[in-house]
Amino acid sequence: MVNLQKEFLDFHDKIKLSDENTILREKREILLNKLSDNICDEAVTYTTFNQGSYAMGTGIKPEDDDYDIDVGVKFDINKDNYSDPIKVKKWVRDALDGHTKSVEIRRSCVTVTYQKDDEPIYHVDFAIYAAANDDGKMYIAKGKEFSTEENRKWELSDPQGLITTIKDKYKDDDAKQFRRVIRYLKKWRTHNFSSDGNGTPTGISLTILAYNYFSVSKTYDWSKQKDVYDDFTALYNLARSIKNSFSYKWNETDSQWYHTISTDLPVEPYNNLFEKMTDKQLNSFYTKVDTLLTKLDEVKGKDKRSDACAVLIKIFGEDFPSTVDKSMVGTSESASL
Amino acid sequence: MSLEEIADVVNKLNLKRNVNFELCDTTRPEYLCEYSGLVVLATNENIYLRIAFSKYFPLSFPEIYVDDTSVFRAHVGSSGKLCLFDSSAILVKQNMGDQVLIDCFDQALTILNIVPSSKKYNDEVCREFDSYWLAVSTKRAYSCLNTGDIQFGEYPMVISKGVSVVANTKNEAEAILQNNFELTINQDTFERVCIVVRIRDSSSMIPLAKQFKWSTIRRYITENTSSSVKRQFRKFLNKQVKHFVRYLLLIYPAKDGEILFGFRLEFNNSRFSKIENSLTCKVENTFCERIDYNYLLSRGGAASSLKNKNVLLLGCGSVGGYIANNLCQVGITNLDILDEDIFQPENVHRHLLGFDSLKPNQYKYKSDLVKKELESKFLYADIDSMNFSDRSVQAFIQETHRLAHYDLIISALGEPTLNLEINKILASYNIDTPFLCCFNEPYGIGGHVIISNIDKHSCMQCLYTDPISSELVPFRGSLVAPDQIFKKNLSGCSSSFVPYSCLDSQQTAISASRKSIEILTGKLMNNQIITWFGNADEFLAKGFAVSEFYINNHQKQYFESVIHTSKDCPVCTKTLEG
Repeated sequence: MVNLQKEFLDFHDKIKLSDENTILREKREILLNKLSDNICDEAVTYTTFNQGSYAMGTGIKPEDDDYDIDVGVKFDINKDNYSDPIKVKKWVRDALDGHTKSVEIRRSCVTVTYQKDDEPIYHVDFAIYAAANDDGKMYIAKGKEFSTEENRKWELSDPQGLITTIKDKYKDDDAKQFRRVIRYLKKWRTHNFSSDGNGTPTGISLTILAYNYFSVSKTYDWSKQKDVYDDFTALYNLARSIKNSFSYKWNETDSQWYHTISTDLPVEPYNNLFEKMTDKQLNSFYTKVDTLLTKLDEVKGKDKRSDACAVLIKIFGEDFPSTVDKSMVGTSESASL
Repeated sequence: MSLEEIADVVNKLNLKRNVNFELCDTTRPEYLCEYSGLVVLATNENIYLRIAFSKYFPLSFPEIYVDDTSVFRAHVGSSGKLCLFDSSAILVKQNMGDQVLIDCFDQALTILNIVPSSKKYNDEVCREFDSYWLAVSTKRAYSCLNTGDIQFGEYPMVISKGVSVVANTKNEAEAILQNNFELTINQDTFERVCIVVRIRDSSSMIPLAKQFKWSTIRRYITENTSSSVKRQFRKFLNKQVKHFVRYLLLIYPAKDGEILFGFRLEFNNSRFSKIENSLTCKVENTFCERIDYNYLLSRGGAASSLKNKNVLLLGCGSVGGYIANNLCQVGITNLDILDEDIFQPENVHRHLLGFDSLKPNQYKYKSDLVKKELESKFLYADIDSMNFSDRSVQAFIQETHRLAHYDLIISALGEPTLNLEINKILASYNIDTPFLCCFNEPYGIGGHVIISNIDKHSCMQCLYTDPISSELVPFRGSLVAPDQIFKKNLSGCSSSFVPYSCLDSQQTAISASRKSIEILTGKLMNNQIITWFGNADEFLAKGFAVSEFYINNHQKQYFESVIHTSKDCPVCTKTLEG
């Protein structure tokens, strides 16, 4: 086993989507200004906040240069006064319409697609909330422009509670390792699941699995008098815990045993984050986790850095660095002549 | 102090102690003035004392003499001078010259009032016995007998050019005469027998005299020895002799250790008669100079248990040379030194050996020279300089079982690859010999001593193993930031060296030697790393960088810790699993 921490940190630097990313911040600001300038008079007051992986510090750069920015828009409305949430969504859609390539009301948000010349594509998803309800909770507007009545609804949601929950789980350097490992998992997902989204666990589901099963992996280095972090072991332990959290379940329809998993959002509405995946898809997820563990075990057995990197490149893709050992290490000791 | 001032001081003494010291007509040349007066002892005995002042009084104490030296008194030398105080143990107030004289006078009376035959008298006599015996002896002999084990015995004494050595064997005595006193053993060398007799515990010291009679000595022995010693002594006394010479060494068990004193006895009978009844016996007091291991080492505070330990020293360069010297000096006698380097002029200023070890065009191996140096310095050092045809450590460790023969292996090689290989061999072959490595850091910023194979929780390799993997990394306690080169090269690669001074080597060697003694006396219970920190100004001025370890610890100047286990250490974790 070789020390791959430097490689993992280099890898992380390559894949992370920093919340300090200025281009994303600019795009978001432009749209928020647009929203504020053009929103109709009928609309009530609102505040905005960042949400999603970008806000949680767990975002990774998209491989297809299709950046996603999640913004929450909290309207000071009581959901009971707005039986049709689409009406509220339209305030936002209409304010932004015409600014970019397309603005579209989707089931859970209003999506602005932003592209200029050869720049990467940006999607800014505006999630719309009613924030002045009788029960003091927040509700998200669900439904498309032409959805049927039953698909237009206000759903209980706590996006800011989620961010706080994830952010407060660990502190300082431990939190940094937690976020790095989530990013590694997400990068693994990108490389091991189809890009069309079918049967692919969501980013938030992986984040919550990490929230439930991650444990910090570090060793105190007496010579440096500080902790030395071991991301490889942290990732390995997390993958093993995730694999162990699957249960073996009989599927009547397919007449087959499947490995399935469920994990609930730790905030409202506490829904199972794998509810949209079929048992078969979950079984496939299990197989991929199992393969990940096998490959990580293979890495453990390598004594050469280049061999270990080769396996990790298979797991994470070419963003993972490939380094070569030397046969000797420097020393300050001196022949006592 | 002037003569007038001294007169004033003496006057105060006369008044306060009701005595009458008066200025003497004559003064010995080493003194400024002398005063004489009568004092009455507790026994009503009247004695005359002389108080002699040097020109340095009161920086020097006044000396007090007893006029009559015919009677032996405790703490009174043969010239009559009283031994008043141990001046190195007291601090004198220079502005109180008068009180200094009074205190000295009082002390003189205290000494003179010690009652002969009292226990205190006996203790005081014992305390200064050697100096007394030296003054009254006409012969001198060296003894390397370990007297602690002797009750009664006959031992060989070899005499060459007037130097006598009594030892356990003739060979031992001859070796000392030749090797340490540089005397040749030839037809003029002769041998005598020395009878050694132990005096029983709590006996009084023999009544002191300048000239002893054989009957006094004989009676003292028969009255003050255990029955078994007495029996053996009687056999000696019953010997029929005519002309007969024997040395007699008495071991007197004093409170602070054994006192050894001797006599040369020469019997000249007109016809054969028993020793006991010999009337014509010439007795010569013989001063016994002890050169036995325990006596010589007792001043150094060493444990006698070191004598039988076997130590292997790998490398006797700058650090190793000083370690070898230290170990022999504290009492290690069996030391094997392996080193393949030749001692050259450029080594002189950071090596134990000096320029006198260099012969033009005949440069020799360091280990051979260190052996020669230390064996001549230390009587009991027995050094094997391991002059194999291949003196390399690489060759030596091929036969791994050799490492098990030692009580301690010290590496002062400064070659981490070899040190780690030895560490691996010790672990793999389950050899329990403790292993100590030591080396300097460049430019005097510090040095390290690493001790492993004391416990099994960690090993040397742990210090070279990455904290989160099994990878080999540079020494984790290093005081320098990684990836710097310090070697200097004045005349080609073969003479390249890392700059540090002889003082750095000595400091590292002292730490290593102290720890070696702790290991060999069973006082060290766990694997340890010890680091001393030096000043880094020169190092930093040259543009080098220190390590985090240096930054975090250098203010303490000293770091000592157990060796922490590296969880993936490829050597000790494997051994533990095994």
